[in-house]
Amino acid sequence: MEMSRREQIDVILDKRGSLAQKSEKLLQNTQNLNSALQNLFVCHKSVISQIRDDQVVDKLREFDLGQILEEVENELAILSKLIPRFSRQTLNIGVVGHAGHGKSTLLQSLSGLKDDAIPSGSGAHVTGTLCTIHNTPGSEPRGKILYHTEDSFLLEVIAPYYKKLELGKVPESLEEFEDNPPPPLPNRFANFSEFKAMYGHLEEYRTQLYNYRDKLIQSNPDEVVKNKIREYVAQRDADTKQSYYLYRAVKRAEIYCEFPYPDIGKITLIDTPGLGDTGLANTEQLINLLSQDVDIVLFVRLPKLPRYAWDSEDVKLYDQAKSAMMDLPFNLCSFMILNRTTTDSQLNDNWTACEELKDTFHTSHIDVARLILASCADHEQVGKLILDDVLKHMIKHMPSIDLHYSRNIQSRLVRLNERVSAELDKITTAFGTGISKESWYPLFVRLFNKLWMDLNVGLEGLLRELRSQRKVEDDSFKEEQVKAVQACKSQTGIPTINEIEIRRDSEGSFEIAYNKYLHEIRSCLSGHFLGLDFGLKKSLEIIKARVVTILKEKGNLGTLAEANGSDFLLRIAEIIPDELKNLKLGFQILADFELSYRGLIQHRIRKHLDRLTPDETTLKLSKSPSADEIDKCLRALHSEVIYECENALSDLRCEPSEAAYAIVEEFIDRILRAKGVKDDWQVFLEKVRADIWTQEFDQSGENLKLRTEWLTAVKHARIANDPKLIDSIIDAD
Amino acid sequence: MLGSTGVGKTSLLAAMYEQFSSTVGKIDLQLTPDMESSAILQERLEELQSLSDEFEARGGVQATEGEPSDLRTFIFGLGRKGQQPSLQLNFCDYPGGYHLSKSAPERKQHIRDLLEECVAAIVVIDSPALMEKNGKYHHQINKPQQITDAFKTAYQDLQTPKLVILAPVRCEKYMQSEKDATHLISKIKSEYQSLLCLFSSNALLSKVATVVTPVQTLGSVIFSRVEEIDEIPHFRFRKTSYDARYNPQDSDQPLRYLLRFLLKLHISDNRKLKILNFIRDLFGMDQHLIRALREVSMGCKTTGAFIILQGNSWLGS
Repeated sequence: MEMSRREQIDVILDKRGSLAQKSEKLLQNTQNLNSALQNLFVCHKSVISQIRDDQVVDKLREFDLGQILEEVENELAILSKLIPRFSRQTLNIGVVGHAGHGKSTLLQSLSGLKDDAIPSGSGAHVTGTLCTIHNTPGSEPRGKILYHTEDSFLLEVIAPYYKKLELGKVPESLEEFEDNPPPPLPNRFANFSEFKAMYGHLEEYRTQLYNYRDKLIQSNPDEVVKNKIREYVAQRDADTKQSYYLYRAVKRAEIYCEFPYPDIGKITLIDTPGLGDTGLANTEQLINLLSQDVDIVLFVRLPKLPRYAWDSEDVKLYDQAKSAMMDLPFNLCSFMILNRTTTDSQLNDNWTACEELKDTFHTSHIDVARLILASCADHEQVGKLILDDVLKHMIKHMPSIDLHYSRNIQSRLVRLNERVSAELDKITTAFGTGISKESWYPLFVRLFNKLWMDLNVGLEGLLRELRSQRKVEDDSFKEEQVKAVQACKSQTGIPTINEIEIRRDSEGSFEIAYNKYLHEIRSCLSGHFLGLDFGLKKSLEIIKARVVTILKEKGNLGTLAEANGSDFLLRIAEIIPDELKNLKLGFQILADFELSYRGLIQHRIRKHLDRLTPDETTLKLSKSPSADEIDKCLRALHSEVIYECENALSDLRCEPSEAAYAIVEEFIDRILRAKGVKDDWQVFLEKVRADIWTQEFDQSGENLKLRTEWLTAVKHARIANDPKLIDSIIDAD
Repeated sequence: MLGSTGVGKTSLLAAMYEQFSSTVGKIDLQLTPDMESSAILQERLEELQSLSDEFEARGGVQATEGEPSDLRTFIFGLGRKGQQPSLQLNFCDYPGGYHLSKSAPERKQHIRDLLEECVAAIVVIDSPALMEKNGKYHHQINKPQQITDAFKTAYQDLQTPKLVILAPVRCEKYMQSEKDATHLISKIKSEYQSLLCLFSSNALLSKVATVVTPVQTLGSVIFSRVEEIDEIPHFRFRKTSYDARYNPQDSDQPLRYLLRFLLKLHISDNRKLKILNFIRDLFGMDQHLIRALREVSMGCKTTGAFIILQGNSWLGS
């Protein structure tokens, strides 16, 4: 069975959802590229300022990152519009037209709303209030009015006037705006009524501020019933001419109602007031709105005297809208509605003018999907001739338009990717290949051999010392043990006789009370032992620190990383190239090695705690127990458990020393004694020689460190510029 | 009865006597102390039993103090129920302090004389001292070296077979499971290594029979913990349950092994041994007693921590 329009629109929106996800990824990747390039930009500057080799500097200067960065930022801006567009839950139809051509009439017909919600009619002043009308079947018509904040009001409403009329500094607060009339209109604008009108509008905003400033401070939108909407979006009442002021504070009005046509689905109409009209400053906002929120544009044109031929105003309006939607195939996204009037209207029958425009449309340079001739005031014609056709068109073409849209963006990204890639290729070689190995290698070998010997002497010496102390009790671990046992003894959790009696009464029997106390005392005890973890970690960290000291002092490695202890070892492991496996592994093993309470001690303590477990304990209550008996039993068991745990722990006091010896020996096996590891060290130190022997190698003018920094930044930019990262949308469908 | 001060020699003897009648059951045999022994043992027994009154106890009776002249010999008559005893057993209980290095040479000599004269020696071992804190207090309390030294001189030129019973007492905690018992035995073997090496030397291997018989002198009281106050250890004991009563375990075993040993000596046909002739003469007069002794010796335990370390031919069933 054929799907209804509503269902078909849902399918389109679903597909957009997956495009939105892919666009998110694309945005993320482009942001990464942006930050990698920003980083390269900073690095580029710093390298140029530090390097002494003129040849290299000249080559680096050829590289223009600024322009590429600008392009990346442009793409980011477009991508960030793509996501809200594809995440939207409605298809949006924007209605565009000059004042008095029937735009509001068309909106009224489509939505079923009247003048009290959508102001129309000749003479109505263009307010610029943005308005969206959502088709929400089954709901009472209502409006939601969203207001500007103080900031957005100054930035989006007032600032465009200042800019367009060249009035200088924009006020920074409402007070400043209200208290200071704008400077007089510059002379060169003074003779143009358009600018004078604009200046007049600005003054009205200022002098009327007291009428609407409350709304700018209010944070919540207002919910209003249908026939009150006009008070928020129009300048005055249609009949009584009573003035309204609130529209000046309104950022957007959202109207919810059921459109009076069958099977429409998730459709939203967008009124774009004033686009193409003079006298309004903030057209930028409207263009923004078109680019993000509109899927199809309906141009409304009333053929009438004297304008019954296509003229520059029509083309200007078309171009404005088209440029806003620059990545869209605009000819597929727009319709031209010729508003037909009949003899019973004020304007009489305009049939002749309509036919004239229709016949000459091909000469107008306006390229739309279709030209429709219909009366915007006629409910039936709007439904049959406009809405049916537009919806049919959308259902048919919108998926390919979406794809076209995203592909356009993507192909620009691909081009950008190629440009970035080509630039990166050029600059990789800017540093040349460095100075020849023959000139520095003999020095390096001398330095390396000395370092190798010093490192061996230092580490083997430490190992000898640790071996001789293997059976020595570890001080920090012992200290923590003593603390734990003291805590066990001072915080026993054993109740008083009185408490036991109360507990018996509340639990119902001595037996139950006893068993519960056993659990409580046991968990209290075991809690005290958790602190041993700290002691174990501390004693091992002391050993690691000693190894690190030797690595820094004898092996000069301190210049490679600022950290200490495990962190230092990890940093070195990261710096060591992957192919030097043994060396890397040695550092990783030592860094990762930990002694833990859970691994080493817990199970040895746990078994002694069984005495305090109701099912396991050997000390059961007698047949006629008393509070005194419970007290004595708990005290005896508590003391016994501490005694046994203390014994078990004292057996373990040498463990940290044993473990320290074992792990340091393993470390030395990996990094000093394993086959071929001396070669590994040589390869590693050769790469970082400028850091290890700063003075010796900087004097040779090699700029090794800068070169490494630069190449790393380039490498990161390359990774971020991987063409595979742009593939995501091409793969779609 | 050999063992350092406070380890529990008198307690063992009292328990052995007190439990005899209930452990031999229907066997027609009775152990009768002489008047003086009876009075002393009765007194000791009351002390032992009173230990079960308190939940936490010290785990033994007051250490025997005194000069060599105070040294007591407990004399028991062994015979059929309701009849004149056929055999007299002399248990020489001496103050443990005799082993102290500061004690006078004549006291040490006294121990050696006793060892030479007695057919059997019971070495009483304080189990918690042996087992706890990796044996930290073992040497201080059980004095294994002094005991070894005493045997070394006393068993020179040994003519007649001897039985040495190693009797760990206050061993309730270490007899809870098979694993515990194995641990106890291995600890005895390692801590008394030099004594056991002496017995298994070429000169003594065929003449000395050695057996381990752990005795739970109170049964109802178990070792709890060592509290070290000013570096002096205090061994704490507690009852196995709040309402537990005096209930010694295996206190009959040293006596059973002793009787089994005597029986074997009797059967042996080695007539060169003077003492054997005496025993043979004694037993020869009472076939009924021999039968009863055989029945008693059948009850020697041989599993767990009860283990014959050497001299199976003198002790085997």
